Amino acid sequence: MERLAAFVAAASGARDVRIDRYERMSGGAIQENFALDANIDGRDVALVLRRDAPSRVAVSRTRADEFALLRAAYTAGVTVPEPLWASDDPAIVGAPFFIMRRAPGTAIGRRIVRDETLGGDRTTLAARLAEQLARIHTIRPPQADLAFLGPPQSARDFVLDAYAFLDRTGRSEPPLELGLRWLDVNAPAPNDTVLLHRDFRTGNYLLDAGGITAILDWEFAGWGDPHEDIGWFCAWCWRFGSSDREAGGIGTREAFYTAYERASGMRVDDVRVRYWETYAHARWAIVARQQTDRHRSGEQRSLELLLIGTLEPELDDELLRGIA
Amino acid sequence: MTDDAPELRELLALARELLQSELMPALPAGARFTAALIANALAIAGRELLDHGEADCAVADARDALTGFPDDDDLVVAIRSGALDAPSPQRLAALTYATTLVQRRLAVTNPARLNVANRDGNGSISAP
Repeated sequence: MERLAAFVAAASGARDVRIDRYERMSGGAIQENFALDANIDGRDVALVLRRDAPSRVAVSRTRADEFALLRAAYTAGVTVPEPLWASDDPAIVGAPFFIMRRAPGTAIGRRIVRDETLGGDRTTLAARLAEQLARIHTIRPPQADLAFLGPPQSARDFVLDAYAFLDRTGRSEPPLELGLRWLDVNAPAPNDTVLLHRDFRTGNYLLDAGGITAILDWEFAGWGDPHEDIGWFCAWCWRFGSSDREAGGIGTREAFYTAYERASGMRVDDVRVRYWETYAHARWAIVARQQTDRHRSGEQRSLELLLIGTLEPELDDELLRGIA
Repeated sequence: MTDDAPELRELLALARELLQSELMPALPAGARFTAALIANALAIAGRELLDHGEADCAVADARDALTGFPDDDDLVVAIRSGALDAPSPQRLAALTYATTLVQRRLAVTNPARLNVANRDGNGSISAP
């Protein structure tokens, strides 16, 4: 803790820093989040420290990159926790990390779709979420601070990565393969290119009684077609059981589209969104397999990771329905 | 399936029941999430011990109907090459096989989805 206190003092330019609490927060199979209460020159500050986990999903980004993304989003006016300081020195907390302000609220998907005291009126909440997404999509290439994002990633890039992953694991998965091939053949020609969050969905934003307090988990972000994020948000696998509320288990698809169109000035192409919903199930199915492999490889022994693997069949099922 | 299966199923079912009725209410919130994961794992293990003979036969039949690909590796090569892109009896047989395979797996991981109209489940791993 002394090293962490010294880091915070140096980074913030404070004279006196005391760490009152440093505790692992639940959630996040990929990273480790710690609640950090600090007293900085006599003022109590509620923070979150986000640290690299012992092993990572191949496509997820480093904490330093995520910090840069958070800064870009914060600057663009997206509701995110203010990013404060980052370090790649593993000696401070055992792995690279960054520190941001702690936003109040809950992100638990199943609670959010059931408890309407969180975030209030559902149509309004769906509209607010669409506005947040449109705000993210105002960030366009090129951005010097986001050079690490590389070129836009297309559906084809995903399919080729998926093939490489499946070949490495040596698993023959005809259901998933039929889906991947369909995605490759039916990929819409890219139109617009914007910053995509690539995991914008219920479960990845914080809500309290007043509404959205933070959009979280930026580690999958990259350049691409804005419809991809809309499809990810609407995909069945992120409705947490409220299947009839097609926009994230929160509101109607129409309410979400309308608010997005008003905020962005872009016409939402429903056919494109549906394509990206099918894609969402394939991508989540691949990530689920990667998570299970992290356990199998012995990298990170975890019941949670193994159980994520048991979602594969229902994701494959949705994928087959999407291509039928 | 061995003759011990019913007793093993009962063992897992009772363990799960006790976990949920006696332990979970007494646990702090963080540990309750872990307990929910364990309950979920026990339910999956219990369903693995059910008799899946019929579903296994359905998979084998669907695979037999899909001729021209000695094993699934060959099938995957054909799918990736585009040989099954166009509508054809073979594409239909491949889709049927894939669906049957997924249904067999769902019988263990999420049987509520076996009803064609049902899209239960929620992409979440701690569902009750």
